Amino acid sequence: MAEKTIRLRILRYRPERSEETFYQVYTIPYRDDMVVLDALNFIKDHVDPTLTFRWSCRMGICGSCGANIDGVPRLTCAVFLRSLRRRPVTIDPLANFPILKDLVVDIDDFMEKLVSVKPYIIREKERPLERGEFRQTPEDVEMFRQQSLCINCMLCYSACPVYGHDDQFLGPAASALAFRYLKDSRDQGADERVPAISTKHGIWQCTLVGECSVVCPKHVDPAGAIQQLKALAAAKTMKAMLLPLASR
Amino acid sequence: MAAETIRRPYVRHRSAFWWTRNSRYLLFQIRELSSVFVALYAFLFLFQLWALRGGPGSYAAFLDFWYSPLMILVSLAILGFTVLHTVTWFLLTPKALAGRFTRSAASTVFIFVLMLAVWIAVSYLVVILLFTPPAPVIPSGGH
Amino acid sequence: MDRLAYDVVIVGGGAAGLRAAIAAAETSPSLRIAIVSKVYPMRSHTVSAEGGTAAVMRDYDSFDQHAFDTVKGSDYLADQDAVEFFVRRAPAEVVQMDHWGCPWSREPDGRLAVRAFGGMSVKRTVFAADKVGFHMLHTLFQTTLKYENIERLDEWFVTSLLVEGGKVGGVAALDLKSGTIEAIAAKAVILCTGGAGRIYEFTTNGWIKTGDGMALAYRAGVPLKDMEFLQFHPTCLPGTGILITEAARGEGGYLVNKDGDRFLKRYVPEKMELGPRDILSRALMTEIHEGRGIEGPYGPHLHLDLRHLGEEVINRKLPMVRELVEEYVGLNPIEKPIPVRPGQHYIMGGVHTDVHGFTGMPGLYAAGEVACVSINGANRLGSNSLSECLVFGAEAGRFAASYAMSLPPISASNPVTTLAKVEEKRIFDGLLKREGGESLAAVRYEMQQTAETHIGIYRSGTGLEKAMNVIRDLRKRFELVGVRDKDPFFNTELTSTLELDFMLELAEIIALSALARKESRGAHYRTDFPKRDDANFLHHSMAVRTATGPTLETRPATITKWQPAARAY
Repeated sequence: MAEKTIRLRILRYRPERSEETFYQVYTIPYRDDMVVLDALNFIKDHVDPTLTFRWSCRMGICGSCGANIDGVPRLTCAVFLRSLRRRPVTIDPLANFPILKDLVVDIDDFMEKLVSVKPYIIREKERPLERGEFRQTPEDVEMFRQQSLCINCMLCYSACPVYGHDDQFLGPAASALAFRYLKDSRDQGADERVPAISTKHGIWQCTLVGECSVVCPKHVDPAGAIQQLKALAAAKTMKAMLLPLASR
Repeated sequence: MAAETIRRPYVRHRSAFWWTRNSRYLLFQIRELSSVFVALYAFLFLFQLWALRGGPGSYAAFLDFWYSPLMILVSLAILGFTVLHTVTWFLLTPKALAGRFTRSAASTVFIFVLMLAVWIAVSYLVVILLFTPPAPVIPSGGH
Repeated sequence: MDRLAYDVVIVGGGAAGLRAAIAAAETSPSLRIAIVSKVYPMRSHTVSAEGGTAAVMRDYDSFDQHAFDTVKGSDYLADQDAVEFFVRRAPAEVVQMDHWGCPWSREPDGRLAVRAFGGMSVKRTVFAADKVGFHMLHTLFQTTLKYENIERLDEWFVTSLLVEGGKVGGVAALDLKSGTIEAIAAKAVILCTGGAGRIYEFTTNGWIKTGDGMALAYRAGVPLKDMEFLQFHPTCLPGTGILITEAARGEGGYLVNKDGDRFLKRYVPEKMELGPRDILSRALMTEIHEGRGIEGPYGPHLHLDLRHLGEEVINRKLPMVRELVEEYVGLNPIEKPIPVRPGQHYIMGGVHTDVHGFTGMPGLYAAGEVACVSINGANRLGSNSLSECLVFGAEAGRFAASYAMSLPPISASNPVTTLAKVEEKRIFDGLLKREGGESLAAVRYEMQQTAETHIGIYRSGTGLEKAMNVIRDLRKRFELVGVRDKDPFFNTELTSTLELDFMLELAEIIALSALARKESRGAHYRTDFPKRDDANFLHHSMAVRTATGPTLETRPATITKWQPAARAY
């Protein structure tokens, strides 16, 4: 469009000024190739240096810059202003997370969730380095490749109404990460990892809304991963019940 | 100088109407709601059986109730919600199976059609069992 | 102010820092290790590396071959003993990453796959599609989660090293999520803070690459080595500066000018698109200067043509390239060539260390891009950097851990808290309260433009003199930069101001070192001294801080097997 300037409406939270959040509207010069992050940086550099937000790589791989843009969780570095229809453009901090300051949210709960799924290769016996790499065919890698693409941007947690309702829920990304390790042929940690996730607030709290997979910028499909995990966990329980003497 | 203000992260209030936000959330809520109608049909069916047990008079009263305008609307609603329930369920099932049965993601269409076929086959079997008249009993007056 | 105390403190949570943490943790479970990073580790700039990690993995390869390629690639400035050490350790590190779950790309028989890369005489670059940095970072980060003796202080910005009696006693850090300066006592500190690309206007680097660790070490009295050597990557997207990996060329991509000509035949006829980055970047700029560039909205550029590779290869081996180009340029690389031009990417220079990551100051180590061992000399070969992070991260981690174990427990009367209080005053009373009239963004932008114009791919004596003067002036203007966000809590204006302070100091050193090197070698090209001068300049520059500014010393390059020769590809 022939826009010369653009208006952005950004949620602020400045506890030193006010206990409540408030919206602030900024008008800045518009260029066709601007992404939302460029707008935020322009505001910080030239209009209001107190505006606070996270960013780093600006190419959609570090996962820092998640925000709710016109109500949808997106990466600010990946959304072109020209693709947004509403004016002013509304930017909120990532939904379902407590706000620390302006667009910066508290992600410590998410970090704990990641740790809880034991996201590392668990082996009964470590393979000596001299024996070289594990043999893994391209098909083996394909089993978990998709879920390994998660950049921990937390857009999925923002989209998930279950997490929005109850932050005890393990959540999409952490579940996808568990899946990634369970499906990795080098891992032998199912006996530890499955009980950790097959709980009331683990994968079973998912009601398959599916919005997480819709907003995921890396097409990880956490919703699919969770449903597969449910089948996997159920099968493991059945097997343990029916064949109690079978090893592993 | 340490920060003297106690930092309080701001927890935002979540709207009770979060599901009006987009079409997928709305579909999700309707899908979940459809379980209510499926359960409702189960109760109505039990009611039907109870009415049947009560004899021809009781059953006739039931049929009057069942074919009343209100109940026809309810039946249509139940039908609609049950189809929605089934279709969404069939579409989601492959998500749990993909990768388990085959090394690559199983075709959603294939599994959907398969489940649809099974549903139709089972329904047909039930219909046959219920509606095929029993073999006529030939009175033993012949000998 | 609380006082935290650890055996080993690692500043920076990228590949080198995380690898060091694991190595230190494995040295002894009784050691307490802290990773102090200004961002959560998954955000470290390692994440954006695309191409691969080089190591000798095949029978057709040899340590001598990898070492020679690296030495020649460095334009014979690399310390050959360090290079020989490096190439011997790299394969085990790659295998270790596999054991920790890194999703390396594979041959059909299950072995780790290798691809061709710039300046490498054989295929030795192990890769993970074209997201090697992302996969390595997440693998390392997730692996650190299994060690109980590794703690993390996420979003803690280290503002200063705390040095007493010539020994490192710890660090002072701004805890962003509480808005306070904290003293962290440590027996050993390992700097793994990465490079300083944000000194330049057009860079592949993310926002966080502001040279923090280099400035911290320099201010503590440790020399910075070879700071004049900046690497410019030949293929960056115009405008954004987003990196298009060398792997695109490794898989067979062509570089063409506006006449559709594969012009590299005039510069590196043997290696063509797989020549070393310094020569290629100059070649691209020459094509542009001589009018054979393609005009675009961001100025002239060249084309990287992948069309002949076909959809299958692009989707399997270069999926992120495809995503980036579709998203940020709006074209499909299967159908159209990609616009590219050179941009700042890596800094060969850094904190002077030996092969064990030791800086010379007791208790202080460094590894990764922040360090200069030197294995990269005047120009780094692509895919050596990630191997470098693993090899030297591990080595520094082990050595720092051993050193820490040799020391008695940190005493309560350790002066760290007092030193940190001085830092607290500097930051909160000095910096945060400043009103000033200068704009942070304006000073920063001028620094970036000056670096881009005068300390870039082509340099000259007059240009460098000019840059020096501008930077010195900017440092004065910096004193008038005010901080308008007075809230100490999560104050990114304050951290940006601290980062600019670091960058201005480093920019001056870079300009000075470039001015002093009156020759052209590797990535440092002087239009007034276009030839390599081994007789006078086969040495490393060492910048040391004095009261009046940086002074330069020299340190000879170590030669073991390969005498400097003409460098042709």
